[in-house]
Amino acid sequence: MTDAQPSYLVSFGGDDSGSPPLRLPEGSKLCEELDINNSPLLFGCRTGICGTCLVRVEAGEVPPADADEQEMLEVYAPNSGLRLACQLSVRSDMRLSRPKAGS
Amino acid sequence: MSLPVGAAGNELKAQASTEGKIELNFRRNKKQDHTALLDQAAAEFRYEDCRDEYWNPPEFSLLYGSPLWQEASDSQRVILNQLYWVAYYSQIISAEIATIFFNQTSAAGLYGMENFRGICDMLDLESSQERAHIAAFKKVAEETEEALFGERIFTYPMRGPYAETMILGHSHAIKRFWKAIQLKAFALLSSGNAFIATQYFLVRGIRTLNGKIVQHKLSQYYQQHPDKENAPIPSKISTYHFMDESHHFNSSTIISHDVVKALKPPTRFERLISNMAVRGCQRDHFHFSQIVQGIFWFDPMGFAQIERILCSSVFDMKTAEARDIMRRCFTEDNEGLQRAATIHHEALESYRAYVADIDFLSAANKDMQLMAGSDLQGYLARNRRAFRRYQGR
Repeated sequence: MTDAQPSYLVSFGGDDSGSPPLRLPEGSKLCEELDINNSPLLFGCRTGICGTCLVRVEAGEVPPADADEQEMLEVYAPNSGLRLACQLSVRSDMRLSRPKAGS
Repeated sequence: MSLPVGAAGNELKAQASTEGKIELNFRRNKKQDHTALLDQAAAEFRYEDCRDEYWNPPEFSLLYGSPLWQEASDSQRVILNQLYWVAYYSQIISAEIATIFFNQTSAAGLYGMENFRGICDMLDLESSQERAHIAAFKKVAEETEEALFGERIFTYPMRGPYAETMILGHSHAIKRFWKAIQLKAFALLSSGNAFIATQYFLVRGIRTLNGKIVQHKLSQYYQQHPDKENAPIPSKISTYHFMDESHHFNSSTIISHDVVKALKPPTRFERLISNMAVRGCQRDHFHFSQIVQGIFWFDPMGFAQIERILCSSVFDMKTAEARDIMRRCFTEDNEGLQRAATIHHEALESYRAYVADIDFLSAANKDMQLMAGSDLQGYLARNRRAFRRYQGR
């Protein structure tokens, strides 16, 4: 990351609010910058098919889910407002939280 | 998979969701199936066409970050990068041979219950994909080793599913014999027991999760290549494989985390088998490897292969010189070792997260305690002992 390259803070809420936030380059994909070593997020397939990385975007700009992600969410997390973190890129400061089991 | 009569509301919702997940995964996998592309890539591969190129990101090279890497020339680094591909996918071949077999035994165990056809059809597709993966990996790996060395280094003749999966694991003849018996016993049990069948997928899910950590980075080399049309074929194969495996990881998770809940709670014996399987996976993934970071080989089992590479025309070292650099790589702390430890830690934490909600696993397995006992000092101590024995040969 150069000084001139925009970057944003990705932080974690809910039960993971103790995890340190990370500054990531604008446009970077969460699944390429985050892993279990530097965040509370577990990524599985990283291609939007397994649902392992479901998150709630508590704050931040994210585009609407495309048709493929929408179809996944209807099966894996209907009416939940959750997103697949592996399909998200950094466009602003963000705060993410993991859904509680059973929610 | 239809719903049992009289199930409560939450269970109905959960099982409908599981049906939906299986249907979606199978449909998407059929749609994106990379078998034809893999077969084409394998047919078109010629080592000469990509002999001067990296096939993976540079950090995925044999002994990356070690003194060997630091001192290698640019052309030698290219070869170390290509050999990472060869070694890595030689390991994956072994795993996929086993997968083809255990997919079928587990499918038999599940099909013996009502309404599991969807899972079996899904696994049939996955098994056929594994055969395409293996064929592509073999073609590239064997041609590369023939071109560079005129002999096998990491590749091996085709073998059956009862061979120990870790090709350079910490093993010997008695361990291999015992492992073969265990695998045969598991095949017998899983083909006649739906719960135990699902537990194959818990282990497969753990192993595939580790695979995804590395494979998504290997696939990025092609996905971010400035000239995709002319990208080296091995990098294309990495991407095609990665895409198929996304669905395999997903099916592992669906079966081991969701389908299992549709079965009766496990008996004590069934829980024992499950815990033995997970512990076995931890044992296989105990070591961290500098030779192939991301595959948890026991590096001393690879000393002979490394020496052959160093004494070949690629590095053109005499035995004493080769062994000196091996000593510095394997028995002294270095950047490569630190990186291997970091990758191992990522796998460990990922596995813990993956099994966190599996109630019938023991605390020791949920916490991956055996695997967590692996550390840098232990790595160096074991290697120093092994290297002294190796030098005495």
